[in-house]
Amino acid sequence: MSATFTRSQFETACKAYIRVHNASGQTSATAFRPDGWTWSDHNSTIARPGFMHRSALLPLNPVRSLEIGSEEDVSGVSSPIDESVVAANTPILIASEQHVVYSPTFQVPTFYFTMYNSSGAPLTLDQILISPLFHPHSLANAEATSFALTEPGSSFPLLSQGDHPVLGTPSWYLHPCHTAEAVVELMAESPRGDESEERTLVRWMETWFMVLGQVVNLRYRS
Amino acid sequence: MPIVQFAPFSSLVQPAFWHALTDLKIDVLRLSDEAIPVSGSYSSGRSVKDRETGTEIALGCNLSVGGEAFQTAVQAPSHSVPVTGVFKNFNTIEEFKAADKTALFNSIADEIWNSIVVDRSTALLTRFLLITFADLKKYKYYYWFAFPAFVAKPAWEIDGEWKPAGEEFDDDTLSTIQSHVQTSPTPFFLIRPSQKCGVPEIASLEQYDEFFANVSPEQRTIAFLDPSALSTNPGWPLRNLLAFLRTVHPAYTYRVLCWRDAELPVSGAWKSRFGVVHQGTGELAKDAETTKPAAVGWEKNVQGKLGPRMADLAPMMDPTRLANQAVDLNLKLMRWRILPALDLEKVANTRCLLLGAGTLGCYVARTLMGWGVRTITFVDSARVSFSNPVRQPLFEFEDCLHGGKPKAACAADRLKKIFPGVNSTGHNLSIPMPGHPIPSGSTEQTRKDVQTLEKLIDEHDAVFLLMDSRESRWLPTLLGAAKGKIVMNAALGFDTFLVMRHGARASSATAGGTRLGCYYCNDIVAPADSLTDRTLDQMCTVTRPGLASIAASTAVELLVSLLQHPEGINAPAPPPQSGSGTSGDAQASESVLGIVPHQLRGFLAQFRNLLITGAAFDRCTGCSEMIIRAYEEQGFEMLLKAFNEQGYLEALSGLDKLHDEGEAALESVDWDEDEGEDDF
Repeated sequence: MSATFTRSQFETACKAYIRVHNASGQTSATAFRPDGWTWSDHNSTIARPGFMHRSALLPLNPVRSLEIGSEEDVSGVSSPIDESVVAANTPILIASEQHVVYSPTFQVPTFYFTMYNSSGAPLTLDQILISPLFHPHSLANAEATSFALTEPGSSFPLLSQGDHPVLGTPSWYLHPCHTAEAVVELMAESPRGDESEERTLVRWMETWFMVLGQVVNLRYRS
Repeated sequence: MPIVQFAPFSSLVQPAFWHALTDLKIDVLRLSDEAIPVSGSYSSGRSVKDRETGTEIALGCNLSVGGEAFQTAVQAPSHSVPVTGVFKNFNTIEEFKAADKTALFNSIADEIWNSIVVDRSTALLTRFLLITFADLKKYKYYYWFAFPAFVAKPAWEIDGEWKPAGEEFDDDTLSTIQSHVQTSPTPFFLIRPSQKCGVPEIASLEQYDEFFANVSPEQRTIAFLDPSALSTNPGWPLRNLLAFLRTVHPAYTYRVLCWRDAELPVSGAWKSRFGVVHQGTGELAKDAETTKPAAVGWEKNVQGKLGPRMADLAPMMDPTRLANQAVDLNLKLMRWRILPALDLEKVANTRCLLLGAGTLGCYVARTLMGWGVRTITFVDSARVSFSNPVRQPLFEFEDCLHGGKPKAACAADRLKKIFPGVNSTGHNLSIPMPGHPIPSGSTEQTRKDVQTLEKLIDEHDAVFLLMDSRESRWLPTLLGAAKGKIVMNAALGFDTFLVMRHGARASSATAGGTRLGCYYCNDIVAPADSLTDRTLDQMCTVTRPGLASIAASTAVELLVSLLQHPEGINAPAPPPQSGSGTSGDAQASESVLGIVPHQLRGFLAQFRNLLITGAAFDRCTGCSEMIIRAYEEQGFEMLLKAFNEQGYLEALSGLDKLHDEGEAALESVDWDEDEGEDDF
């Protein structure tokens, strides 16, 4: 298995991954495999290749940090006393659209995502970093600006803002520059002799999710 | 018996909904505030395990609206059921505030009530209301959801407590329900045990009478897709379902299954809940059918109060903000990859005044924008003419029509068109020049023009001299030196150019180093009229067309190098070029971008640039202390003399004496040609 994908291998890998891991649901015997993905062709052409996507809901921690801003008092509404309603103690939710898109430059999958609060407004980088999408401490030393996060000594920002390569919408992404090395190193640890190419591609994706899972908490989904 | 406490809906708005609303408002609704249909969806409640504490966190009881909310015949996402509602957009925030919300709310509650008592249908039980005000200029959306639910009097109570569905039903039954709901999700459904043996049977609420005809009450189960994930609180849709049942199918108790298992459970632990509910005293309601109960259901805002919410989508939708981010990102890439020490903010915050909006001015402005400079001001007194657009990239053919637009304002507008984040303005102003006497009737106008120019120079950090005559550079040279501003100078010959930075004023220059000269320091004649009695080819800018962009780009890059140098305007010029490589001494004078030369002379005929360092001249007519002091003491009167009286500047600076002394010696020197011709 080479270190990188061609575009058609990427599509095969994603579709095979979805088939294998969405059908069964989570089986506790194996390692965690993020599921709930669907393949989107999006009028697929060379210029607009397909991608894998899913939605996720996450509770916000800590709860108070996501003020939407002060509202003016325009209530004009009175409510009868209602003992049959639970005192609201559900967490504030944030929603995340997650995409796995092919990077033609690095020839590996790239993780793109958007995050917004319950009003539909996008989260700032600071809010994203304290959200449960990222493992605490996994980004502890990185330098954050309003639009990117860079690890010390790294020539590339780890997390930055850019247009979704297929949809063209503003999005966040994790830079794919070191993906191939990490995945290949891990896959070399468990070489399989005579497995089908599709099985290898699925294993590549599983390993990629494992690498991604070091930084991103992929257990949330909706 | 504990009172049943329902988990209210929380709205979850996807960004695509606001895009859809924006389009709808602009293209369809315009000023209409008619109520229109809207749709949303909800799915069974989800919970996640908290990593730190290991406890299950319920992820709210969400009703979601997305980009397809205004389309008819919407398909709900998988595992979800569609709900419909009424949407009303107000045209102003005042109308939004003043709207009779109680009446709107009651009209929905009436619809729901009628659907129960008249239609005996469950189709509208979860109807909702959404009112909005869309501030499309600021991309702010005010909105308020209401999910009307009838208040039961007395309240519903639960026998015992809500328990896991697995304690009431066996795995086979639950698996059958799971597969049924997965294939065809419905908000409400009925369950009875198998009439023969094996699988349980499922039917819709509308089949209640026949489906439950021969089923004992202990075996009748009413199920609903439960958006709540709280173990002791069923979700909001159950409230109106119970109101429906009490009215249409009265019973003493109802066995309720709160369906929450979108997928088969991993470890056999079903998340669905089961409970038996009854109304307070356990009696059948008698007058229920005729009296509409009170309804509740306005959503609280994030502060937990009854009030609207606001979505600020400017970071995502405002094209100007998106462009701003993109421009910054592009520049920051330079810092990430090549020059970590680059101070981009310093460049971006440098306010630049461009004197001249011609060929040089246009190219300088574009290169400044490339560097992220946000304040760019043009001064020019001409109008766009038909010869301009092909050489001056900020102008178009249309700008030349009807006598031509004023160049300065036109260039400023065009910059904003290219990048709305730029702060650009244009001033139609002619700069008075020595050797061009001011007619006495125009003195007041000239005084005003000078004041404007003085103010503009005060308000900027760097002044670019990009005019097409030599003498028009004198006044800004003097003002720039007096006010301690960075002055960048670019001038074109036919195939030669000069780009230079003016040195700091003598009284503020750092001690020790050589003070660098200005445009006039190398001259031993004062600026005088160079425009009169010239033929057209001498007066117009007849240059090789590529020269202007080369010179303009060089001038901007020189400014940026200067800004990155720790000593800024006092940055020393590099030592004379010594063949290959930079000596240790040269490195000492560098900024992160390299050396900061004093002057560059470009010769296109040889494709060669020459770096020149010229020391300041203490009798210079542009920047010497005598001249600057005279200006500071006498102000406009001194300037007026300079414009009107030939020989005044020479006398003031002492140049005339030098002139007399050296006249004989200088006669044989060929000094006048190249400097003079660079300007035309």
